[in-house]
Amino acid sequence: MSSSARKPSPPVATGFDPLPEEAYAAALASVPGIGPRTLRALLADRTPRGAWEALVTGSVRLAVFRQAAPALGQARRLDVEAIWRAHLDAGVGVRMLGRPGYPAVLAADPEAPAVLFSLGDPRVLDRAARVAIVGTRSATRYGLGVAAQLGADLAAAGVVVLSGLALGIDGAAHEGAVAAWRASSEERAVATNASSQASGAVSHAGRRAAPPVGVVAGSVAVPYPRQHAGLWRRVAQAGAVLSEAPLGVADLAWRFPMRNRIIAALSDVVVVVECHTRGGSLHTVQAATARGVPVGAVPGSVRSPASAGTNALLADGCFVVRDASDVLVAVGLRLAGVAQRGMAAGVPSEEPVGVAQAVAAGVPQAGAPAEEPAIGDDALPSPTREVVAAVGWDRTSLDEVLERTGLEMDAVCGALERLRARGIVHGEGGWWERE
Amino acid sequence: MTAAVHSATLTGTTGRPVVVEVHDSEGLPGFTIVGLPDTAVRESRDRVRAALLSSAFSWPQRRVTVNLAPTAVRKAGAGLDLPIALGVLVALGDLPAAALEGIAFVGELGLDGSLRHVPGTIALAEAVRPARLVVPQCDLAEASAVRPGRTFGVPTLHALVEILRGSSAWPRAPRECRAPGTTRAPHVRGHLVADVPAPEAFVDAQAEAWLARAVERYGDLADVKGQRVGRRAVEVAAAGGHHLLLVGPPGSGKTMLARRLVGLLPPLSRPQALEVTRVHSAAGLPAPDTGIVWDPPFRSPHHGASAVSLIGGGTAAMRPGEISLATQGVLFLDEMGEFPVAVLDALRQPLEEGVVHVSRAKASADFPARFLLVGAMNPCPCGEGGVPGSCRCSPSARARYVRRLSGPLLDRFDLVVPLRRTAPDELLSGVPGEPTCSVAARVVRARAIAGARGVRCNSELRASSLPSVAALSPRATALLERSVRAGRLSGRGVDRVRRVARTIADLAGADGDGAVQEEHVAEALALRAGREVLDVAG
Repeated sequence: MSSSARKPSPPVATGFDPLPEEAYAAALASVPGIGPRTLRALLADRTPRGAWEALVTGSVRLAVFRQAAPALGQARRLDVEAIWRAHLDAGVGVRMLGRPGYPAVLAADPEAPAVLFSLGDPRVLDRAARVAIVGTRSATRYGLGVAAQLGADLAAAGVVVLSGLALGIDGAAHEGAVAAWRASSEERAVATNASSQASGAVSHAGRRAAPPVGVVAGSVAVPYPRQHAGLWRRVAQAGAVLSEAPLGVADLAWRFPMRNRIIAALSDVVVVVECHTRGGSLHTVQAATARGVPVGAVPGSVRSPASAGTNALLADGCFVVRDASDVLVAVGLRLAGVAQRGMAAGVPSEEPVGVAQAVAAGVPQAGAPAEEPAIGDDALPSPTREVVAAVGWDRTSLDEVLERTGLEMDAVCGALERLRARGIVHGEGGWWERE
Repeated sequence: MTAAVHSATLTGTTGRPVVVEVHDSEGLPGFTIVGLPDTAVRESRDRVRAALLSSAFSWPQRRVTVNLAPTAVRKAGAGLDLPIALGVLVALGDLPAAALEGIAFVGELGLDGSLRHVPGTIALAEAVRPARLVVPQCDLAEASAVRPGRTFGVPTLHALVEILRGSSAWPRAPRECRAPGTTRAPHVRGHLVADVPAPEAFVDAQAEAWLARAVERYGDLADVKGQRVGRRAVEVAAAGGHHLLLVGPPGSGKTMLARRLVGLLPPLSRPQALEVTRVHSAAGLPAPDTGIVWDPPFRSPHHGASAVSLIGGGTAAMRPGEISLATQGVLFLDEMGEFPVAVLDALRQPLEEGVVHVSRAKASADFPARFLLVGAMNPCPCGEGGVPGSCRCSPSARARYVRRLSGPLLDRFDLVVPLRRTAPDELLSGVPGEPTCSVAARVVRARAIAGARGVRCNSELRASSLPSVAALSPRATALLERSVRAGRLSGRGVDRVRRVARTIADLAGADGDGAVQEEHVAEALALRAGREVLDVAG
């Protein structure tokens, strides 16, 4: 994307005459006061150019628009050509509902954005199953680890991992997915070279991993949070980054819940890895439930505030996610359900389909994780053995380790550092846990 | 007739000798003070007049000029009342000039002729030229600490004049100033440096009295339930003089620990005690009965403190700030994240140099600032950021909060300790922690070992001396290497960890020359794990 954006002059460099419809769509989305719902209403029975002209001439009679009357004046001040040029320069694609290039899975949604801005190629959304991995920004190491693993395993299994590119769980899931996608691409490249040399031998490289797709609240060309600028770029290169916000809008707070509805609308399954009892993840869950999208949650310690929300979701009947195969079964059920619904001519059926059916439907199963190799704790020398026993799988404070072992602090710290060097425990910020 | 009386005035915490010259002549009755007097000195005219009249002397109906020499030095405070009054008496012929030969006078006069306390007496006593010194009775202990055997305390102007006239005898001049409840001045550190005894040796009768007082003032470490890491951090900070930052949620006992740290510090050596007394006296803090401040001071300014109140200054008076009042003791900044950034950054230079240079257009002064900095802060605005996954703050709010401690300031903390709230069962268990007295014994011993290295404590060890003084065992070296490689420790942090590890080894009773072991380095690393809590946000 960025390489094409930097090409000095796109074919329509001088004098866009006439401006394409996309330019008017982008301009309409840029008018302050026009939100997703107004935009949809404006474009319901007009072309973008028609809507724009109606807007600037003041001939629109929209109930929703009356509250946003000042927007009329704002709109007259906007320069459609400048907006269009800015989008072209930034390499941002403008996709309109009901036209080619708009993700078909999203088009069916009743709250689908009328205009979608994109980096990269969102067509992958229509080719593969999609799973959203969402969660809190203030995640624990456990949550980050699970999110990255799920992201990698699902991507490797050919599932598009959707997330919001936020800090915490979102970022970890995308990191995992990007890594898996890159590994698979390299493998294929090697395999293709090998097969071409072996004159037409069948490639034994595994199924191709699916690229991740990010759905963000602000403009796709302005990475937020800035720490994720690198990840943002890699996601856009591998798959796509989508948003309904044009260039140059502020990251307003209301855009985040609106973004979450797009994630829910795009997903076959939503997985919450860690979340607190309140927060954006629960918006996504709500939006998913409203659309009949199954929601899964990763269980966590009942003492961890970061798992309070997910544990509550499990208590409410969401399915349990222990690893990628749990998710893939749910995806299989969902896809099978959709197929069945299609056959039943639009009659909605929420009846779950048997697992066997899902597996038969060809949903790839991620390899079950290998059994944890038993650590020979008994073989460890004396203080180290007691210390490793005192450090739980749950995070344990150094105070607790000292309390449980009753040993002196220097002995305990020495043992912990030796265990860390061997990769048996992990310590950060005064907390220790088994790897 | 003219008279000249020796005295001194105070700039910052330094005394400067002053000669009070009084001249009287025929002319329109009047009383003028020249020689850069401040308001308090100018007002002494009225105090001196009332005091003379109350003491049954007459006030001259003549023209009197008082000159304070040298004229270039600004004169502050009411300590010049007494020499001015005596000068007037000599000039009027009520006292023979010879009676004042070889004596200096310092004292504020009450309207009834009584002599009152003068701030900064100890510095004035050091500054005056003549051999003998007369001070108000209440300042005798303080002044005789620096002029033993040659300082006299008198209660009133009248009594003093009687003595000077030879009608009554000079009072006894105290020989030496003693610490309270002891039979000798507490040279505990000096005594131990020569001969490093076992910790039990410190716990003799004298030390017990000392510790009982410390515990009474600052509380016993045994009161802190649970918090083994926090208690250990306080011990290491006291032993090695390592600046300590406690990072924990509200209610995790940060203030409690900081106060108990002061109780762990050994009594001040004589030069240290004099330094502290000079500052406290100049700032006008109430003097202890001993006259000399033997206790390491504990100062905890509120986070509303201005830069000047912390660093020192003022227009002409040049008052020492909180950091100087905490010299040789503990400066505790609670809620460090709430202090203005400029105020915190002003601490950096004094932390590095142990002295603060305060310059104003009218005057400048150097104040000592060799304090142990103990900071306490929440990990984030909501306070719960120390526990992974519990923080409710937005990442930007968290980063903003942590950024108030600039990197260079954060680097000054050898110990950055994450604290958690004590579990209720530990709070109620009633199992007391180790008491102050046994921890203090280890602290004294560790400080004595450091003293043998030629420094006050291990935090003052030069980086160049670390290879010889804090040699690392091979496993300890490997651990440091691993930590740096993994990015858990910066290059700058390595030396700090080595100093702390040296202190921990000294506390463990290791031979002062022995190598620092892996356990000691591991513990030193654990005692700065709080940086990871702050880095998450930064």
